[in-house]
Amino acid sequence: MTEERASVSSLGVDIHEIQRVSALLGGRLNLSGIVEGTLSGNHRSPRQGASLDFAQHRDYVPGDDLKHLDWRAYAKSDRYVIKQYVAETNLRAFVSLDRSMSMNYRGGGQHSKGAFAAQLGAVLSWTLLQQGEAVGLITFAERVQHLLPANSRRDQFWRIIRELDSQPWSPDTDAREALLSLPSRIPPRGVIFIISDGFDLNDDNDAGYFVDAVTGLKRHGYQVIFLHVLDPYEIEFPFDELSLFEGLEGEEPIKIDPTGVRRAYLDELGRFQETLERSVRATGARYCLCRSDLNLEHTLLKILESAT
Amino acid sequence: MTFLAPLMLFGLLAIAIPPILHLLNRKEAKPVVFPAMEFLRRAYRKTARRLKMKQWLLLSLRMLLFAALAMALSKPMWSPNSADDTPLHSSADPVEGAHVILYDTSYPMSYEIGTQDRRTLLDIARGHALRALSETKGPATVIVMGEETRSLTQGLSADHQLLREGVRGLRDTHHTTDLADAFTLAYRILRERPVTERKQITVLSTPAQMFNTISSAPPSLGEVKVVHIDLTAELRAQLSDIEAPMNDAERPILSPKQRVELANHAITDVILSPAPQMGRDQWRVEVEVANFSEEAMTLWPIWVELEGEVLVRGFLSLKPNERAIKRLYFRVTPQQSENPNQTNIGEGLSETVAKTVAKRGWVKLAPDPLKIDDQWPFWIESRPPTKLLALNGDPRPTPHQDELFYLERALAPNVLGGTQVSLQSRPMIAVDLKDEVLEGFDLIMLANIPRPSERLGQQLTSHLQAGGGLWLTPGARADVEAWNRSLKGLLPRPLRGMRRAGDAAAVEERGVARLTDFKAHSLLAPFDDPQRSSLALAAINQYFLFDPQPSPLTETVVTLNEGSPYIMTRQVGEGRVVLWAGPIDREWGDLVIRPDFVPLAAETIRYLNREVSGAVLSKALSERLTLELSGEGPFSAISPNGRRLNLTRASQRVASNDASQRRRGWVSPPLPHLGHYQITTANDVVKGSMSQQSADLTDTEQVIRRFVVHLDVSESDLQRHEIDQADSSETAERSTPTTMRALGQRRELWHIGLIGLFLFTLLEGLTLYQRREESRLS
Repeated sequence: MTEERASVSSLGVDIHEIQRVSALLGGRLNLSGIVEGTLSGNHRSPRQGASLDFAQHRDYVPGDDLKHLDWRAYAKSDRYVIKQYVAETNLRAFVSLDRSMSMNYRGGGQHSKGAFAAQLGAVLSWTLLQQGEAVGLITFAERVQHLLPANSRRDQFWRIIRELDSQPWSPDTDAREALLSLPSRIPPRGVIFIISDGFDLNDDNDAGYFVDAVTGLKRHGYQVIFLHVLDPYEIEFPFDELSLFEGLEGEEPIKIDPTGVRRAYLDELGRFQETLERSVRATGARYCLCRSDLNLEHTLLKILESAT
Repeated sequence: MTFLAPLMLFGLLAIAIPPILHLLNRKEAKPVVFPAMEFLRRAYRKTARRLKMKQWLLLSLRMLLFAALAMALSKPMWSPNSADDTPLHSSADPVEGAHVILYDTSYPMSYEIGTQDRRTLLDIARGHALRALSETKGPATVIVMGEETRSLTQGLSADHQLLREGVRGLRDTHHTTDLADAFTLAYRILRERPVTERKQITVLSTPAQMFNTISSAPPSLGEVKVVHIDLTAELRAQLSDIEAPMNDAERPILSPKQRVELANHAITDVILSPAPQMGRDQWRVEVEVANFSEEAMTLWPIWVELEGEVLVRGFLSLKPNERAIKRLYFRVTPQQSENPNQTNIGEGLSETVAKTVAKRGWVKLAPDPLKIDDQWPFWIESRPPTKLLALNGDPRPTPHQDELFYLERALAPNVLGGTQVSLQSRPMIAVDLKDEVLEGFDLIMLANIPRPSERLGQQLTSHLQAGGGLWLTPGARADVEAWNRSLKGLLPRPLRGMRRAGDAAAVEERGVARLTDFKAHSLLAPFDDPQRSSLALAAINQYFLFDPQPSPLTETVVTLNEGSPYIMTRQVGEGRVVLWAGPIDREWGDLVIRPDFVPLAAETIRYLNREVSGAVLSKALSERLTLELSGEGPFSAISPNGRRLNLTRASQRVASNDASQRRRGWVSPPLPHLGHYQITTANDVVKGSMSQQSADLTDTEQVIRRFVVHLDVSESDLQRHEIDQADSSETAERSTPTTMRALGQRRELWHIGLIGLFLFTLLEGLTLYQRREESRLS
């Protein structure tokens, strides 16, 4: 089926690359330490045995409880398979992407922040789908642009890719509203990856209200993983010449000699990033800073490190 | 604070360079898209003020860097007492240690500052010098500035009595001051004293010298105090007591205040020239007069004297500190020399060749306290008319067709100016002249005569041998063979035949030849660049060809573009010959209607007459005179007081284009006196030259040139306005009879400027380093 579709999307999402990265991860993203209250495969769940409706078999992976092993099936096919029930497949993962205009910036990296975020989202989706998890997609800017319900169907990945390609960049952003409205629009319990540069979350009190949004999601039964995507130019501010800096979201341009303000800018950015990370971690959510010029494997390993 | 090199202060303009460079290099900001604007805006808000201050500081440092450089180069000096101009020492202060007095005897010191007793600045200076010597405890000497800068004793002397006697014997001179030389000599004398000894240099000169730049004392001398005594201070303090002298009608006066302020009027230049447009024998004198005072000159008398007789009087009005030129016209009647010793030179030659009457003249201004610069000498040399006999070979009844029509117009008195020519035309067609006919004429002209006889040739040879002049202009009627035969020894080149212009293949303009090659020759002296004169425009249709082999002592003056000579000269005995390759009418060309034909004709007359062309010689006192003279010498210049100055040969032979290869450069010694000079030589050397026996001359000497020596008026402005303003405010406070103004103990400040320069450079470097480090760290 993959061969029938274009291998590269308009955002630069290369399916072969994604498959390669996913294979490097062993095709499995271990979220056992992340997900609470759900049960799926190698995920422990407090609702274990809540349903006896057989749903499907899946391959045994080391770590699965042997009591769920279907010995009959083993006797017939000589394969270790695990019996799954309806309630046990109910692990939902949502990849929510920031589509504000500030994400459409490419400074020093190979891709823009938005493209990098899309690739990251695609890898996560592919890996989770390969593990049989249900994956959905949320794109947001000043509001939730699109919400693709979580599903573990084989074509879910392509739906996600299609949605990523079709969603426009939004000049205005009010991520607060979008994120606060999420708990009412998605089913309870699951994992949600929020991939954003966080600028739109920024306010005078630096990420203060982002905590509200994460808290809301946590109450709704979601584990939140915040992937903070920044461009190397934003991190290093390598400008030297007198320049007229223009924002992407309609800010007033300012003429600055960058060498004079570099130190103060980096201080400001560092403080912002530190505040955001501290606030996110305070809610029990995970935080990972992702540079858009790094490759995907590196970034995914970093995510896994932060997750464990 | 004073500056040793004040012109370097113009370097302060360089402080404009950093702002100008900043404005020129101001770049357009490059637009950059950047998403994290909020952080950038916050950072800008925090750093904007500090950044601006830093940039202003950097710009100021750069500007100060240039200013410090300019200040250092201008060598500032700080004198602790000159700024407030307060008297430090009075003459009553005894001088310890070595003392050198610089005593000015230049002409401004003869300024009569006293109204009643006619006391001069020199008298006041003498009093100061005597008093200073009596109060000096250490060794002393007096350096006299005037005709030469010299010390009264070999070095410093303890014999002050000897110095006092020397000072009493000093008189004013007509020379100018050389303060720098005097200081150099003073430093040299003081060098023999120990470094630790106190040393003082006292300057007794005019206030004008007070602010002259002088070199500072060498460090090896130790501390040298320089004291400039204001000679006018005493009288200025008593200004209210000075009564104005009675003003008679003929003599205008200066007010006592202006006299104390050393107000002066001076004649600064005189130009004398003939003024034929004003009538016969008229002369014009242009006198430049300067008013160096704060009072206007109103109807100030000015006059011209000649041999003691006033020829013309005028009046002059000038505003304060103004210069103007006054023109006066006067008539000098030519007189025959009445000298009974006049030599009769040569057979058949008029005595008038040698009769030049020279008169001594003066331009004078009504005298003021400084009289020496109120007069200016000049010579008037008036000659009797030169008699020119033109033998006309082609007379015509219609005037403008006559051979001599254009020459007569060119030599007319109202055209020719200084040289007056009496032209007598005589038709001559193949008829010999009697000897008597040539008698009494200075110059003979053969204008297109057909066949000069051999008898005429002999007569002309005698005429030339005696120093006469001959002008040959052959034309269409000239018989070439007869000319070559009869004038064989006179022609610069033998004639070959007539040629029509434009035959040569190389000529671009067919039928017309042009005068193109003008040699450097005294005949062309009136033209700065003959190629640009109207002579070069003359179209010659026909001309004579000449033998390629020139006669001895022949020079070609002008050559046609076809290569043939057109005007030539030849020296025959003492006489001179000028040969044209065509007639002097319009028959063969239009040279005679060109405007520059007039000065050419006049200069030809002067050349044949062996007059000296050029302006009247004038030199300033103490200068050397350099000039060309004919003959081997010896030559002497006799000064107004009869002193004989021998001229020496110039080290380089003066390039001469004259036929006489004996003309060489001669140099006089420095001219010592004002007034009228005569250059003489032995009588047998320069025969027939213009001469007039002088009472100062021996019987065997003749005057060959005259010149005047005038005053170098560069120091006639005795006032210094800065001093005037400073002193006028202090006049009331002055009670001491004399005041000394200390210019000594001067400190050089240029090294402070250099230290400032170093500090500013260091600061700028630090600022830039800090910026770089900040940039690198972030």
